[in-house]
Amino acid sequence: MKILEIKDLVVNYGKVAALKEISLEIEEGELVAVIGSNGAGKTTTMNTISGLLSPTSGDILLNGKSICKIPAHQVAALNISHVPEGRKVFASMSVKDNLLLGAYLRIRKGEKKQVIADIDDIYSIFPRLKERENQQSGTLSGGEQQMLALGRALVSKPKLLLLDEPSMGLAPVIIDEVFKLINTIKKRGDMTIFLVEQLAYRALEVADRAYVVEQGNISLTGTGKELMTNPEVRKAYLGAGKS
Amino acid sequence: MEQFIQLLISGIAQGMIYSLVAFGYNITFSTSRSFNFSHGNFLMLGGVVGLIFFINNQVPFLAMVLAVVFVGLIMGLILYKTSIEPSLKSKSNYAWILATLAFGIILKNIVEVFWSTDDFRFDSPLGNAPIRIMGIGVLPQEILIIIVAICIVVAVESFKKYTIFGKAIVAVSEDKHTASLMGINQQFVILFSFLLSSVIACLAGVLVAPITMVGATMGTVLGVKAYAVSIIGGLESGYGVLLGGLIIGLSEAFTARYISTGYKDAPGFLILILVLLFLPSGIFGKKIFKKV
Amino acid sequence: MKKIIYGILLLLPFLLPQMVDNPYYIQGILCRIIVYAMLVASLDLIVGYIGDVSIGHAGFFAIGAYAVGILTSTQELNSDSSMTWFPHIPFFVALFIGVLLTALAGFILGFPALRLSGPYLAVVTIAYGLLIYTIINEQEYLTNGTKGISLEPIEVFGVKFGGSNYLYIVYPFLIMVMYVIHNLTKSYWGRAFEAIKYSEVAASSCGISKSYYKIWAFVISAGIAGLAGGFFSQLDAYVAPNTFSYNFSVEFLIALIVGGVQSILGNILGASVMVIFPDLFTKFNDYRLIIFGFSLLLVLFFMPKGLAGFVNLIKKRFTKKKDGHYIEALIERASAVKLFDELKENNDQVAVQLKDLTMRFGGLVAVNELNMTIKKGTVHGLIGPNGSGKSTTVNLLTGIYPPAGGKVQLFGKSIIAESTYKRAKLGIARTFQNLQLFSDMTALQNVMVGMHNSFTSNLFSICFNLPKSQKEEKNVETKAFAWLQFVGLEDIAFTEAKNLSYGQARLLEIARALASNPSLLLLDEPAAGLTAGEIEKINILINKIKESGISVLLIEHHMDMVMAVSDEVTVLDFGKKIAEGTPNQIQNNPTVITAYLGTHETSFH
Repeated sequence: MKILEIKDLVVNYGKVAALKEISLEIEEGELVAVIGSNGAGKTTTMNTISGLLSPTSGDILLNGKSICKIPAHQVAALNISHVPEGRKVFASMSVKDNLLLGAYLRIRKGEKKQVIADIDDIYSIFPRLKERENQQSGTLSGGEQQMLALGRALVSKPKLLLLDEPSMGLAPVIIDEVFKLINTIKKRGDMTIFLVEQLAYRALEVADRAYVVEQGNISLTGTGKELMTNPEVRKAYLGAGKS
Repeated sequence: MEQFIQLLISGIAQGMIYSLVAFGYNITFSTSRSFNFSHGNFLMLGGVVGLIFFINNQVPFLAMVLAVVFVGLIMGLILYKTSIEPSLKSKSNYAWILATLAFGIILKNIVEVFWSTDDFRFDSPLGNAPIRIMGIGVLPQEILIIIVAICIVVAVESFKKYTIFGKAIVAVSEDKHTASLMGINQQFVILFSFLLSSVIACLAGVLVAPITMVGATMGTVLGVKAYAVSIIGGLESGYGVLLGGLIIGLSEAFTARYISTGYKDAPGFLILILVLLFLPSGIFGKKIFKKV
Repeated sequence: MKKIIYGILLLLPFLLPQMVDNPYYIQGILCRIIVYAMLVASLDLIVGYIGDVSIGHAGFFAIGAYAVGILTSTQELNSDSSMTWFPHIPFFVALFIGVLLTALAGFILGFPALRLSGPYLAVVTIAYGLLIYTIINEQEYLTNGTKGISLEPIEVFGVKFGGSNYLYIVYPFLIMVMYVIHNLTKSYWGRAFEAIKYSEVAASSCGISKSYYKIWAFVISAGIAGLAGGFFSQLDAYVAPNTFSYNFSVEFLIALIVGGVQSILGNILGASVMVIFPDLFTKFNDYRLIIFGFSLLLVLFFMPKGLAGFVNLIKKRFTKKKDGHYIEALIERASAVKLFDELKENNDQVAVQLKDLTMRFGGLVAVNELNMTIKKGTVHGLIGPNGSGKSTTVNLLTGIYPPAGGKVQLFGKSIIAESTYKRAKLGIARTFQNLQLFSDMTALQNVMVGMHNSFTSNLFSICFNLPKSQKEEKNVETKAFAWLQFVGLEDIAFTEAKNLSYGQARLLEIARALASNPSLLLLDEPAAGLTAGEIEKINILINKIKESGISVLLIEHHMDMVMAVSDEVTVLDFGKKIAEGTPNQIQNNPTVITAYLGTHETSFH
């Protein structure tokens, strides 16, 4: 069953076309990646799904229902959790408070006890966060902040997890670690993951299927394995060269 | 010595009133980057409503306080709907300053036209006789002001720190887009902050009434001095306003006593200008890095 | 026809009193409107043109009024006062001194205004106004405190100008003030004000010094407010501190907004409403502020250009657009313009050299010991993944950030100590990743802001629109038009920047940057958001620019473009240079491929 379907999505920032008719779909339980160089329109896609941006035309369907006119805080209530580009942890607040805010809607529904238990569960995946529970999250390293952002998204118990550039600004060793964690989350099998990533090969390794975007258009699509060996991917990043 | 301590206490009490008004700027500025430039008139409204209920109509004190809170909520809502919401939507980055100024002028004029242009006495429910603490006579109302003001600031700051909705307010202050990804309705949070700040200003009006007089103009100067307080303390630091209030309240009391009553406002404004020149985000403010 | 209408309008204040039964009453009202209009106009310079909110102009007004009051009054008129000093000098001398004093007060307020904006500055202006108010109230031996000062009427060559004929004194001054403000705001100074208001970064990268123009704006505004204050003192031949309260500043702010900012007509309308309203509707006078408040809210949200905007809307229906002759003449003149000035004889083959350039934000090293050389007359590509330090490098080159270490040299000279606007003067021009056009100005005016440094007329010559200034303006306009032709935008020269398409806006930024006659042009993602056809246009443009001898630093994600136009490419990752070479070398460099696409390690399958 399709959990998310994007149909002919066009998004403009003012007069700039950031997305020029993108269509893609994600089956329940899949990990789908969108790869492409920066400026290609990946983050715009994510922000439009989660309601931070509204599209100029086209539609986004979640389980067959349009969500593109719903404001961000209501999209979050539909079990979609978005880990934004650049992590965006609440820097002045403690690690624990960030995690609690991730479960804001659940706590307001009265699931506080369950949330506390889930936070402990998160700590078992990211033991580093447990150690720094009361530390101001702005003082964490980039990798730790990425883990916190992931954890904050997971405590909301999403059906659909949106991951925007989890590698951004991280050192290669840390990127390894982050992608291992993404793989762990995937293997638990309880959510669909939509990953947007510049580092193509990292994303293709974990992805079931992937789309390549270039200048606001989808230029290629295939399974992770197929694309891994496709030379067109490299051209999408570094150009076709002088002709 | 006794005189000095009395001066100290009335300076602190006056400062705490400024702090409460300034705290109102602080609460809404952090969530919405805007505040009510006519906040002093909300304080005035609290004083007037308090006077009408408590003094003129002999309503019990607590019932009067409830009435004042209710009026604060209603006025906060009207302010938000008529001035703040349209300003935040408009492109101009100073629309909110002008809109809230206009709102305050209307409010003040309404009170003058439909109520009175005179000033009235508001006797403290605690009486006007000084009580003796360690041999020094102190006005009970001043002690009440200090206690209530500190309690309100501590209560609101604790609410922000320890409850999930309070944390949501902090989250919106820090990054409203990411906050909305958590499912937090940022518009509601901003509205809430304006309601809270209006209620606090109205309460401050009741508190200050016995040591000033109650009248349509009582809030103007108070509101203006509270700008200084909030900026000295840092517009984004909750507890900073207490320090800012102390600085302004005390400098005022001591200037009035030892230099000249006419100059009592001067040091506060001088400190304000100096703080802005050398510590633009206030004594307790955070440094903000602006990226190009 | 037009001239006749304007002539009648101009004489109206003299004609109007003749048409009614009670000329004295009308003259009194007109004098007040005139004085208030000057004050509103002075406030407009700050609020409308510079874009800061001042709630302290009553303070400047007070200084002017009191200077005249103190300096011209006599002992007899203030017999039971505590004043001790009566210099009793002629009115116009006192007025002049008053203007100088207020200008000085404006100069002092200008300094906090450089560092502060929005609510912070608004609060400082309030504090400033209140401080002046306090001083006036307290210095009784000078100002007579709350009791105020009584003045004698002005006497010029034996004629007394008190009461009704005062109009003949103030009205010519109003015309002069408005004429000066009109000339000033239409000149390169006015464009500099507007540029600073819209974007400080863009303004400084056009070579405009924010400090210089902002402080001058405060000085001029305060001086005019002081002039208005000086005249005000004679309206009732009496000044008292209560007039100059906080509320007075607020009411003038409302008058300005309701009348309409950035408009002389608006200033006069706002002042008129403020004066006439209470007189016309004495019955409603109690409700005056309620009505004022509501009109401000309505104007703010529904009529952002105020009453003047409304009048202009009607006027627009009866006037034509810029006539064809004007544009034809412009095209004619532009055909004779030589665009690229000879680059100074310079044997140096290196345009820019970065040596060990380093920048840190807190613990993050954004740029790490970067070494890079941009050769003269070449296109140098700068690429790298997100967050690799490209934008930081641009900001270091243009002087927006001070580096933590290292050197920046332009033609062998270190420019590390220079601020952004000075570097622009030295020949560094740029475009912006997020367009920073001055959106309310026309395309042509935008380019003219880029040519800011080619203006040499002084303030006096501008304010009185002397021939030198007129000629200069015309020459610059012609050359700016030629720049628009160069990038192919001549058809939209008189369109406001906010109404341009995205592609046109990108080209306009390039034209504005070129117009400053740079030796180095920084293009920050010029292709972002453009169609293939538009990108092709920019490619051609870049090649033309290069041929003229200008060096280009191109920061871009669109690799086809970078590879097509660059002579050399530098690749950054984590703030470090990881590769440098020809486009071909870069495309096949394994380190670059890894940085962009990641590694193939299958570490966990």
